[in-house]
Amino acid sequence: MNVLSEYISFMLERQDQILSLTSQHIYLTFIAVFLAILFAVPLGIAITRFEKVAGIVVGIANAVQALPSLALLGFLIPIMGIGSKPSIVMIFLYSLLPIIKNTYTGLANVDSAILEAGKGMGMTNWQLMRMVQLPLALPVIMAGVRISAVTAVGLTTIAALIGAGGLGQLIYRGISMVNNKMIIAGAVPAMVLTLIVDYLLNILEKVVTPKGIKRK
Amino acid sequence: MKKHTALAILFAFMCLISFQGFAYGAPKTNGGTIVVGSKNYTEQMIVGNIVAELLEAHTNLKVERKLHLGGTNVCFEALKKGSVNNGIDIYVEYTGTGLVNILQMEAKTDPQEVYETVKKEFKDRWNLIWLEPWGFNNTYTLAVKEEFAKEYNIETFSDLAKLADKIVFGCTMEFAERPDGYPGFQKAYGFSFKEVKAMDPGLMYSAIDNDLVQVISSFATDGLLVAYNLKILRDDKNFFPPYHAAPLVNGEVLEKHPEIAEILNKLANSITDEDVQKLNYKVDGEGKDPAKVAREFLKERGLIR
Amino acid sequence: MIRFESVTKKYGDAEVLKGIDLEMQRGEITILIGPSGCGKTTTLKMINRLIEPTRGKIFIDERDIGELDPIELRRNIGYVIQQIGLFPHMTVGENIELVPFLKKWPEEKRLKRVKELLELVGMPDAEFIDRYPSELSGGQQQRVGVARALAADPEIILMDEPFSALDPITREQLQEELFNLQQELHKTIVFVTHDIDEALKLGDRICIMKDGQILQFDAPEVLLKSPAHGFVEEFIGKKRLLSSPELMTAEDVMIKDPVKAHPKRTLAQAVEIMRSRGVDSVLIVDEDNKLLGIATARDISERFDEKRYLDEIYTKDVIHVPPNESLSKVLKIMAERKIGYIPVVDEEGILVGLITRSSLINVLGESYF
Repeated sequence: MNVLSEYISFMLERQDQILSLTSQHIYLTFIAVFLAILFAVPLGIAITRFEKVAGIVVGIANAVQALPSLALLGFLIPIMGIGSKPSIVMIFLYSLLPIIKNTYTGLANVDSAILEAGKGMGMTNWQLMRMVQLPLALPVIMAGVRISAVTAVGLTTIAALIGAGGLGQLIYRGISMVNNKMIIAGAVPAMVLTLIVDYLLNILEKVVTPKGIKRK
Repeated sequence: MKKHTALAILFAFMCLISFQGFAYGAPKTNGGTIVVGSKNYTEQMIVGNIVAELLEAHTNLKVERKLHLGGTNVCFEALKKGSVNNGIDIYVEYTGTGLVNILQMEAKTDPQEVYETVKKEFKDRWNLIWLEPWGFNNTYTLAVKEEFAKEYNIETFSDLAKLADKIVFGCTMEFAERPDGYPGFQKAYGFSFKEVKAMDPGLMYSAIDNDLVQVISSFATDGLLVAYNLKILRDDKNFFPPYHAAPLVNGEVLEKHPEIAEILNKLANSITDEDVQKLNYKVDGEGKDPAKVAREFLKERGLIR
Repeated sequence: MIRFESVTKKYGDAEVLKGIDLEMQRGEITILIGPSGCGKTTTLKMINRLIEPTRGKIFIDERDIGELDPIELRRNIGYVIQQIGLFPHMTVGENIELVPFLKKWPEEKRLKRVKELLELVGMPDAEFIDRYPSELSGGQQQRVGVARALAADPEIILMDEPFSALDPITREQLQEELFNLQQELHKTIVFVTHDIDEALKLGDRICIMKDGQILQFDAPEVLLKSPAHGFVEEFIGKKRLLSSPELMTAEDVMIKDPVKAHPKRTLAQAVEIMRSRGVDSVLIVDEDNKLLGIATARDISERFDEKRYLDEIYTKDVIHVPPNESLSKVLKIMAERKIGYIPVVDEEGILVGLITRSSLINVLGESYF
């Protein structure tokens, strides 16, 4: 118990710093994921329309995903410098794939009978997308967003390496200085943040599930 | 809870939190700010803070610290950009690193020669200016436990050759890759270790303490060498070039603010290897904050009030 | 009202429709029927341009639909499909009012229409409006599907095997209801099915298709009486062809192996024969199977003690009919002479079968199921 209280008092001593690093962390993650949604959802919609391009787009997103995050950061520095901008770009790029994939899958899995009925009734492609496909695909899209967001919180710790702040700062300095308390002071809030983001987005997922299909 | 209310609340919450962060991700310099960087280990944190403290005390510039960046490459690329382009304006680099790692040239042994070379090349190629060296040589070296050295009669790097195939070597990731690191060492000394474990510098001491590795790469000025009872071996083939520390500044920034050179050159040739070792120990051994250690040092020397 | 002019549809090298000409009348239910791959669904879907012809034109009220805006066209044609296709995330009300909504009807008008339609399809309960499709049975869902198709009061309704996915009882109910609805509304309905019973029950005219061509397009009675093609005959099914009494013959309804006995059989043996076959009469025939007469159980029991052999008691001069005698004549004879049996005998007097009341009931009953 003594050890535990040491760790806790360490964190309490630095609570201002921890809070400010946490809000930096949230800022970086939120902006990056938000931009990823803005970009990936329309892209996902577009590739359901143009199936030929689907393979290429998903292939590129997959390739980006496969790049080690540190390598990507390394590439970005000569172009964008250090700090929050290249960090956001990196997290943005890594958040794309799950959202694109889930948007595509969600839309493609809408029952074709429904689409046929809609088309036969005189809905334009856009009306079909807006009034039928998107609402039905929304839970799956949200699941993709949730995956990206939770991963992004973890990735954002790396941003500290290029001076962008965030909870990674405590973790890396703690490692350098062989200070376990510092490492924990950074890692625990990061973990808590991940859980909170997951929980909130889970609720959001349920909220956007259309009533008619919740029963199933 | 109604669908739209929940969404609105969530969105507002996120915006609120990020707004605080947005204020942090503040606009760039407009002439009066200088960004000081450093690499990600103790000595760099100390010297980085020394630079920052001096500039804060003796200029009108607003000093922003971007310390503990992820390695030589990050610092160097950021320096080339300068803070106006989202980079940094100054950090403390080592001449040997500049020569072998950045310029990718052959190592030399004469410290003056090394300094002149990097000074000229860095200016010509990238408009980056080396200020006066501060006087200590933080050379790369290899360290073993005292008992280990006694037991096997190890004094020099070459002495390790006979045991090499049984030795696990711990080093930083940079050292494992740099031409003035392990690859060059293998060529110069003609042997390799059984296994190489690359890790964060902070972890190497506990690694050797726990016999997970028998030899570690080290800096001659490391604070914990004494604390862990480690012995530095002699570089009998003079493989490692000298690594004299000096501030490296973005040329354009220096032009705008020549006072930077004036102030920092006050430290020229004024810090010994032992001085630095003691400073390092204060952080690594005694757990003090690098910023505090830097400030105390400058106060002692009468360089700040 | 809907006219196909030399319409061909090709997918690559495969010709799914081979230059068909077809005209569907206003206010009628036109059935398109045939085996899979015959092109019936393709034909249907060309009317609302979900499929475009490779060659040829389609006219609605003499306007070439190829020149109209397909979206507007579809909003004025009702469309009901087999899998129903209700939008699961919308309420019943929202599903039904969709086309009026697309046409920008005011909310009040839409609501009123939804209530009207629910009543029309036999779900008058207002609480249905806010329910979701997943809460409804299959039959209810398809009723909503039909209501949805009728919402904007289109002249034409297209139905693609709308009841095939439902259980037989519900299917029949909905067929009935559709029929009744049509009596009230007089829409022009084009209905695709593979079920000949459904076609005969609902169609004003039936178009039989095979391999992308039309084999026959006539009213049901004409098809039944004069099938134009061996295939049509087979498709409709011989039994059904003959299920109008005027067309049936004695041969179709007779029992082909009636209980018979030689005149020299004893009465006791006759009784045993009748008992073992479960009948109450026996036909008397000679060695060549020529009909000689008939003996009933009653006759036998009356004379059991006195006589010994069948030839002593059987009734000669039995009324009989040839095999090709029309069923209506047979029925007439049975009614006039008040007899329950008529043996069927060919030109040479050979017995070929027996018509009894129960065999009649069996056969006629079968044909109506």
